[in-house]
Amino acid sequence: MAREKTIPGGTGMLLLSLLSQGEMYGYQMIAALRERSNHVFDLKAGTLYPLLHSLEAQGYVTSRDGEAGGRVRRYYAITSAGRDALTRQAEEWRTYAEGVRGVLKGGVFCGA
Amino acid sequence: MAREVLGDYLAAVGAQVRWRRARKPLLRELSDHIADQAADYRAQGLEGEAALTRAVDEMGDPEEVGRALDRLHRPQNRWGIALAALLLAIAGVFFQFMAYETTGPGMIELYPRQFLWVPISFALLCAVWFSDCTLLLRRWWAVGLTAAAILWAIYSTNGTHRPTALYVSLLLPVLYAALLCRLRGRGSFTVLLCGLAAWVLPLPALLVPSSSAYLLSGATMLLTLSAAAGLGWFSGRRNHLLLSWVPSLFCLAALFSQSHLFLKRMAAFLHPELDLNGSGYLYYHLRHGLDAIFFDNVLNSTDLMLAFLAWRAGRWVFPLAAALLVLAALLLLRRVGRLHSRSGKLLALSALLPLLLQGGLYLLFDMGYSPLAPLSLPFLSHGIGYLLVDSLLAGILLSVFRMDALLRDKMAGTTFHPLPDQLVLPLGKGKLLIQYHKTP
Repeated sequence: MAREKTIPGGTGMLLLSLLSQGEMYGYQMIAALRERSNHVFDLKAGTLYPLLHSLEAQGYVTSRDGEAGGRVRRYYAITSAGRDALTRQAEEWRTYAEGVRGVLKGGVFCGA
Repeated sequence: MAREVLGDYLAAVGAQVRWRRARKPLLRELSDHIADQAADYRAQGLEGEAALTRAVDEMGDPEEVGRALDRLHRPQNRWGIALAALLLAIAGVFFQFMAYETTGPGMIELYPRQFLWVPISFALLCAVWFSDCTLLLRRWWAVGLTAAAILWAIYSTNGTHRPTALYVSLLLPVLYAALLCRLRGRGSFTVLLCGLAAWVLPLPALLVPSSSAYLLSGATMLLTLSAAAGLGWFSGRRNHLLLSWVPSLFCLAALFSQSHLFLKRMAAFLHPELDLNGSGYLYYHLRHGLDAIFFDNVLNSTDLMLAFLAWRAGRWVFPLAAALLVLAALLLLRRVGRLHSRSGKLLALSALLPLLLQGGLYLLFDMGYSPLAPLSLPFLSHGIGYLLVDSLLAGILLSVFRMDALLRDKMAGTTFHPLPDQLVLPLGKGKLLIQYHKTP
C-alpha cells in the first residue's frame, strides 16, 4: 500500500475494515462509515472512489458489477492481501494510539 | 436545473479522464452514488430538485476527482510484449535463412514472402491490441463466433484450405473462455458440460487430420476450465476442479483407444529403434545425433527449424530455447495472475496457453521427445497462417492486459457501451444524455 495509506488511522484502513465484514458498494460504505463512527468520519464521494480504485489497483480489494434496485452497482470485496494489510495497519494503529495516549497522560520519558 | 448541475458535474469529471473507454463505468458509478444520495435526501424531506442539487454538492471538486480517477485509470499497454513478438518474427526469418540456406535452394524464394507478412501480422496484432476485448464478453458474440468458427473449420476440411481448421482450433479456446465468462455461478452440471465441450469443439481438427491441433486446443480449454474452477467461478466450490477433468478422461480414452494411427505412432515414439526405416526414423535420429543425410531426407521441414539450428550451431540451442520459453511462460503467467478480474484471467490464459503449448511442443519434437507433430514455433518458424494466428492471439492477450482496469466479472454486457463517448444516466423517470466532444 502507498505510504499515505499506511499511516495509522488512514482512510484506507477504515474502508478495508468495513469490507472485511462483507462486500459493499460505495454509497453503502460512506453511510456505514458515518454511522459506525458516530458522524466523525463523513467521507466525500469524490474522495472515496479514487481511494477505492487505488486499493483495487493495489490488489487489496476486488470489485464486481451486480444489480440492485434496477441499477448496475459496483460491489467491492476485500481480498486476502487486503486482509493482511488490514491486520498490519490495525496493529500499527494500536501501537500509535497507545503512544499518543501515553503522551497525553504524561507518561515517563525515557532517554537522554 | 438540478439535472444541469448533475450533467455539468459529470461532464467536468469526465473531461479529466483521458481514457475514453474508462469514462462510462466511472461516471456511472458516480451517478449511481448521486442517485442514492439524492434518494436519501428525499426520504429526509427535501424536494426532488433540491435533493439532487445537494447530492451533487456533496461529491466534492469535480476536476480534482476527475484527475484522481484519471491517474488510476490509464490503459495498461505492455509494449515489451508487442516489441518481443515483432523482434521474434523478424528473427524468425533470419533463423529460417540460417537453418535452410544450404539444404534448400527453393526456400530462398520464400524468405521475402515471409518477411513481407511480418509487418502485416504486426499490424493485425496492433489492431486487436487496441480494440475492445470486452466485445467477446457480450451475450451472443461468443456463441455466434464459436458456431461460425466451427462451421468454417468443418467447411475448410472439405476443400483445399485444410489448415484453416488448425488455425481455428488455436483460436477456439478464446471463444470458449468468453463462453465460460457468461456462466459464472453455475453448478456441477455446467462444469461437466464445459468439460465435454473442451473436447467436442476442436473435433474439426481431427478431420484435417491433426491430433496435435486437437489435443492442444482441447488441453487449453481444459486448463482454462480448471483455472475457472480453481478461481471459484462455479458456485464458489473448488471441488469443481476435479469435476472438470472427468469428461476429459472419458473423451481421450475413447478417442485414442480407437485410433490405430495414434497407437502406431506411440509405438514408434517409445521404441524408435524397432522401426528405423519407418516411423521410428525421425525420433531415432533426433535423439541420437543429426547428420547431413538426415537433413537431406527430411528436406526443409518447417517443423525442424530448431533441430536444423542445433545441427549447425550446436545442441546448446535446445537448453537455451527451453530456458527462454520457461522464462517467458513464468513472466506472462505471473502477469495474467495479477489481472484484477477473473474474466480477464480466463481470457488471457486462453490466448496465452496456445502460444506456450505450441512452443513447448515444437521444442520437444525437435529434440525427438514428442509423439505429436508440432504446429509452429510461435513467430519464429516458417508459415504465414500460423504467424497471423499467433499474432491474433498475442493481440488478444495484450488487449486483455490493456483493459484490465475496466474488466468486471459480471454484467459485462451492460458495463461496456458501444459508444464510450456518450452516457445515459439512470435518473428515475427521465434520462439525461451526455455527449463528449474533443476540445481543440
